[in-house]
Amino acid sequence: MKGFLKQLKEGILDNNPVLVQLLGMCPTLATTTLVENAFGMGLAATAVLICSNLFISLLRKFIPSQVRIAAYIVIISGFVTAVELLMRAYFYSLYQALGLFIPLIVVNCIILARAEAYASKNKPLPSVIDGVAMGLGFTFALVLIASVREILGSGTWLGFQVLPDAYPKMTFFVLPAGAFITLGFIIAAVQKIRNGAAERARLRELASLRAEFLAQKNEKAEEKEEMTV
Amino acid sequence: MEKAKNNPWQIAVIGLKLLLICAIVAGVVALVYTVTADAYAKNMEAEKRTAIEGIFHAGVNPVDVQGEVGSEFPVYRVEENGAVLGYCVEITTAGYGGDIQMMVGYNRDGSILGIQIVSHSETPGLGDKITGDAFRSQYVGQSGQLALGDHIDAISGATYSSRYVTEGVNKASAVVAKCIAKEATE
Amino acid sequence: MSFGSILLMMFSAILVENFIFAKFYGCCPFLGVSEHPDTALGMGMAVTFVMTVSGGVTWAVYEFLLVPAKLEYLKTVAFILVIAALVQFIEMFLRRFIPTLYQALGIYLPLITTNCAVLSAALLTVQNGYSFIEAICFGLASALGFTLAITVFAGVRSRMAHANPPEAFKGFPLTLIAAGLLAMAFSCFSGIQF
Repeated sequence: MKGFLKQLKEGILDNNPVLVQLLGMCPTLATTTLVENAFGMGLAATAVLICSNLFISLLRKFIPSQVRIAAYIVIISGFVTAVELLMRAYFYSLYQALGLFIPLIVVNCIILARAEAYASKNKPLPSVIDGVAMGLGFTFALVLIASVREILGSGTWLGFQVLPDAYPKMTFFVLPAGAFITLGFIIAAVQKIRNGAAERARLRELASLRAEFLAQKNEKAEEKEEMTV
Repeated sequence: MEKAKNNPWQIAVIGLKLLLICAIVAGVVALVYTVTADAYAKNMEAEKRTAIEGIFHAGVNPVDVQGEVGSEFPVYRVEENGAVLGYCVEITTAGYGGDIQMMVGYNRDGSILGIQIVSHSETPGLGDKITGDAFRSQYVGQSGQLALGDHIDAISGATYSSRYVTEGVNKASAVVAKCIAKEATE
Repeated sequence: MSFGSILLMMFSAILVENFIFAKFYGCCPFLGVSEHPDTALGMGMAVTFVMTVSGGVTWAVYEFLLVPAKLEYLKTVAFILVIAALVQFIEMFLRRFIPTLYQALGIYLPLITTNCAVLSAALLTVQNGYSFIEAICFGLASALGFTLAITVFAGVRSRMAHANPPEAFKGFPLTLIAAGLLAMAFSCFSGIQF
């Protein structure tokens, strides 16, 4: 259970696939005009990621290593098509809003990266958890970006009016250029936070080293004193 | 590794394994397709009905006449209690962000009764104004081939989307002209 | 479709509906392989080569295999397999017969399988109902748009390498912001009236 929470935190925050690993840029930029679409895209990719991680992990001894990438792609594209068909039948408006980006989950580098780096080397259960963690991390990043773009660009959040009508809508944020720039600033903020954390960790380490060094020095001095005495 | 590559038996095993995976994946997808096919067809049907009823009114009866008039787009003669109210053409044109799918309704004299945008992926905040009343109501009452600027004002900042919709409406009007001509000869 | 309208379609695919700046297809290599103008051009050329060929091949697979068998819904699976096989085949062909070209493009080829620009061009071809000639032209034009975007962007980035931005913006964020500015420049093409 503790391991599960740790993996979850890893996927959503410390090792977020979009904000830290910088993977899966196409859907991140394209489907974040509205929070609803970002949510749909995130959950669709999560579903595919969980299924593909599970099956690739189950088949990891069966798949010949020479053709593993081809095998992964076939398995992933199968699940993507299944998700596409299910969305078409039960979430029709979302299916239309996401358009071509549902089949393009196939080439989302996050999914192939997790298959190659994690699921092919680990047992099914941790692989599924990894899928959940990375999928939620992806969804979280998408919703975060979409929130900024939808609030500033359309004055709404998840379709609800949040900014007063008098506030001018900055259409720039829903255009492609706005996508790049919003993501740029968000990743800069993440880097700032991480740099700060790294700096603090480094200072802590230095402080403890210094304390250790002083303690040793004191000890030696005391020893010397004892000797002289 | 090198040795494995040269051994035809091992290559055959690898090929077979890959083939097996492909076959299973195709099977699973086919299964999902069969299970969801009905629900999808229902969605399409419901969507079409809502669009037609949005232009005319609830309770009308659309009759498919695409084959009869020899049109390349789906055409419906809209009837109520046996009387012909008008026509509806379902049209899909390439938009700025993706396909624009719309339903154009006509009175019996060929003038436009209303248009409904069924689905689109135009830019939110700009191109998606084609779904707004202000833009769509410009078409109502017009007939014949329309030109952007002369008959229809483009949405500022979304000339493309406006032009694509107008092109689609023009195609639909051509089909309806055929329907009316056919009705006159009968 | 007449010759004129094919030209128009290609022009629009290169500039107005640029794969990178208007549609976001192929952003991973665009952001990843654009550090130096030389490598960017190499990547662009490799993508152009693969996309043009795959445009024709996926069209044929769809029309002659999937449609007669009523398996249109398997197109994503089929296309990605065709593209993966094609990339492998092109790699082997170039290595054996055109070694100079292989040396120039070889390292980029394996990356192309997971370039979503290739798959989306194939899917868009089907969605728009293009003919064989149109499919090839569309693949070529979209890829040229990609090449244009990545080469121009590599030029911008090589200038940016000497800048000294705030610590937090170093690396990826600044790259994204530069891409945003370039996307703004490209968005002016969407105002062109034909």
